[in-house]
Amino acid sequence: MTTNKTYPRFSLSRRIEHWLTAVSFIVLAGTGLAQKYSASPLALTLLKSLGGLETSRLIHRVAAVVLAVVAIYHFGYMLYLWYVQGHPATMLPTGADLRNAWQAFLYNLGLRKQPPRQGYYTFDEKFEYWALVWGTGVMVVTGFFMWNPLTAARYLPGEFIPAAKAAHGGEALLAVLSIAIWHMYHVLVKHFNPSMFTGCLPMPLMEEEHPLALENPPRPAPRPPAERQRRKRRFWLGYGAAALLWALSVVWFVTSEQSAIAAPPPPPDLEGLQAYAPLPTATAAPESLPPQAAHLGSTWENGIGELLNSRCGMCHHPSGQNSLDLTSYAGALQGGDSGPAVVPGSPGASLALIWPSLPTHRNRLSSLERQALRAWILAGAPER
Amino acid sequence: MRPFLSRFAPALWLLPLLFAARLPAAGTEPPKADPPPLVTAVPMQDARCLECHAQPGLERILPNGDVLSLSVSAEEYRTSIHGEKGYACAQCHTDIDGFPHSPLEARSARQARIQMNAACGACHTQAQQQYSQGLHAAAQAEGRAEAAVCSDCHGAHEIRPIQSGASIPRICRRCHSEIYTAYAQSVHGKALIEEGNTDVPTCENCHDYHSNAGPSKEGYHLFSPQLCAQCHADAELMAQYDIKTDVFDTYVADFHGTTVTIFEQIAPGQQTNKPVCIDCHGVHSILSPTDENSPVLKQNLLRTCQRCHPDAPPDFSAAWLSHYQPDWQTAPLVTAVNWFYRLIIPATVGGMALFVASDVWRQKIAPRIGQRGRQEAPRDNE
Repeated sequence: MTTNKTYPRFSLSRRIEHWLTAVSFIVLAGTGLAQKYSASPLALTLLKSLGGLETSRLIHRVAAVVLAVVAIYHFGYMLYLWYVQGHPATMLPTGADLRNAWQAFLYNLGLRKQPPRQGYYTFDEKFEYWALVWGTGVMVVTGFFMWNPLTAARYLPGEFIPAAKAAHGGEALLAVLSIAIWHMYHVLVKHFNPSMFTGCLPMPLMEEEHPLALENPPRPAPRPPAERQRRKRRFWLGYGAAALLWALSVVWFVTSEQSAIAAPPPPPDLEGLQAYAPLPTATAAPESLPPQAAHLGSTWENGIGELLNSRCGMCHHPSGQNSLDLTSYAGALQGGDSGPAVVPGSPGASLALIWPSLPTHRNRLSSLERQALRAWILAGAPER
Repeated sequence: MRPFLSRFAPALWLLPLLFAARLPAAGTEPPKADPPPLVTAVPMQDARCLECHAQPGLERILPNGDVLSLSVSAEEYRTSIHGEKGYACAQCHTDIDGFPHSPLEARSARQARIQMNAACGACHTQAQQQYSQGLHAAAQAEGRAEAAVCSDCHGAHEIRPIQSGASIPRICRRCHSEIYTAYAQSVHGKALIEEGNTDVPTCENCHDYHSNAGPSKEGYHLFSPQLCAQCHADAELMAQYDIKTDVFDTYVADFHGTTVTIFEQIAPGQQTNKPVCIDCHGVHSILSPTDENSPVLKQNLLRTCQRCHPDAPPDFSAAWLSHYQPDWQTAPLVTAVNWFYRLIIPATVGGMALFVASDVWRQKIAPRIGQRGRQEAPRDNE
């Protein structure tokens, strides 16, 4: 048998590509799903161990750029192999793949005697590959919206941003489950496939999985050197332009706006209010008064109003006790159930001075407050 | 997984947990002090004190020129809560050891008041302990004498129980008048002050009275959505006002809310630039979202977004789903995407799992239990 022979399958550059993709995929999935499922303690532990949320997001973005750059390279490499060197496009899906998948399934169920005989890439490898291409496309586009929400909203309806977030999360879950179920099974569980480590597949595995490729190996189409040169020139022109455009888009992607990344100052205070803004009467404490505060006001507007408002308004407000409203000038003149609270010129008839000194009344005025009120009433209780 | 687990469910179970762990004892009555015995063996009997201090006009000029009134209205004290219960002057005025008194140490009236307030903690230990954790105590410790001490809010000789409701904002107003004015015009303040509705939050529901907290306290900003959730996640309460209760969950599900929630969990002290409820709705001046001046009214929303995203284009505010769970009416595109993945994930994963299971059967199990697998295994005769 041919047990020791191997079949060369992946060059070093292809393997580097694979592992760059794998590492960036794992980093993206880890840092991304931890944010999607942030209620889970495991996710929080991961985010914390990576240095916090903002560092995790930075790592996520770096991995995203690595993946995008690998994608540019991969696209160019494949195009070169096919267009310039004339390699057959072995990865393109064909009708035979659908048939192979169905036959493999029937074989597994014991409804078919033989497994399908497949070529250079089997249907499950093609499925994995195109799922990755689709997934990367979705993630790049939706990732752009989330990275650059302002730029996105300049060209598209704003609802695209939450929709992108939904798609980014859904696609991430789909991708991770696909890799875990499909890829891991085929390359690790079904049988260990060393070709992404060593570059070669053991011959028995090659014979089992890719018999058609052994019978009819994919060979570059023979091309005259002149034709090859022409194609090479066209490739570098076309791909060069595309790659440049792509690279520029990546730069745009990364630099077009910082609103979702950099930490601008915390939201500005919506109200801009002064926290400590004492009322004129606030310092007029009942027991101790700095002399400058002894002047509590001589008109309703320059202090007496505030005085009555703060000392009496707790109970005597428009819907308060005894139909008496001491929070407004008119209310003070009008008085309540017992009569006018303020009789201009007559402190002795002003209930606002009399009631608070009765033992039945809940609240008291300090002597200075009484003096100020008395002086104001004597002066005719001016409003301003 | 989105199709099987509601993306909002995590926030729901987190909520009571956070309450239990973090919620200040807002809105509850402060614990009553154990009343100390009514002492008769005080250095001086009240009657002695009042021989002088009942006289009006008794005062002393302090070194800074303040006039400290030393007159006490016996009537006022008798009708206060302490007077009603029969506490003696010297139980609070512990520095008085007879007559003539030791000279006053205070340099100013304010200092005299602050010194006097140390006496309250002798009985009201728990309130004193809570106060010591609050922002007023912190400001006092920084030497800001204007920061409120006990008697600034409660009064001195005339202390009576403070009624809840509108009387509390009126007390806070004495020093925080600008905030009071903003609050009085807000949807909450109007309901309280004009309608006497006590369902709405007053100052102490968010700031607590003794251990008062505020934006300068570490973690307060990140924690503040939990304060709003106290009422706005309460289905029974909100039903009376026809207000949706999923505002909190929809906030947490959104990008800003997710970020804030993660920060709150792993780095509560860290400053974040992501907005919480108050950053869009206003703090004290919160208006109904249907009010024409509300910063979150659709017509005003872009301007609110632009406070943090100055370059936001006109349609940017549509990125925010306005506290709606996305459905075909409110967010058709998001709903379509959600449905796409709700169908494609089980279909794809199920298909793959089915195939893998059949393959496992064929490769690993069938050969061991039956002859068929072994017979078909060699492929040389193909």
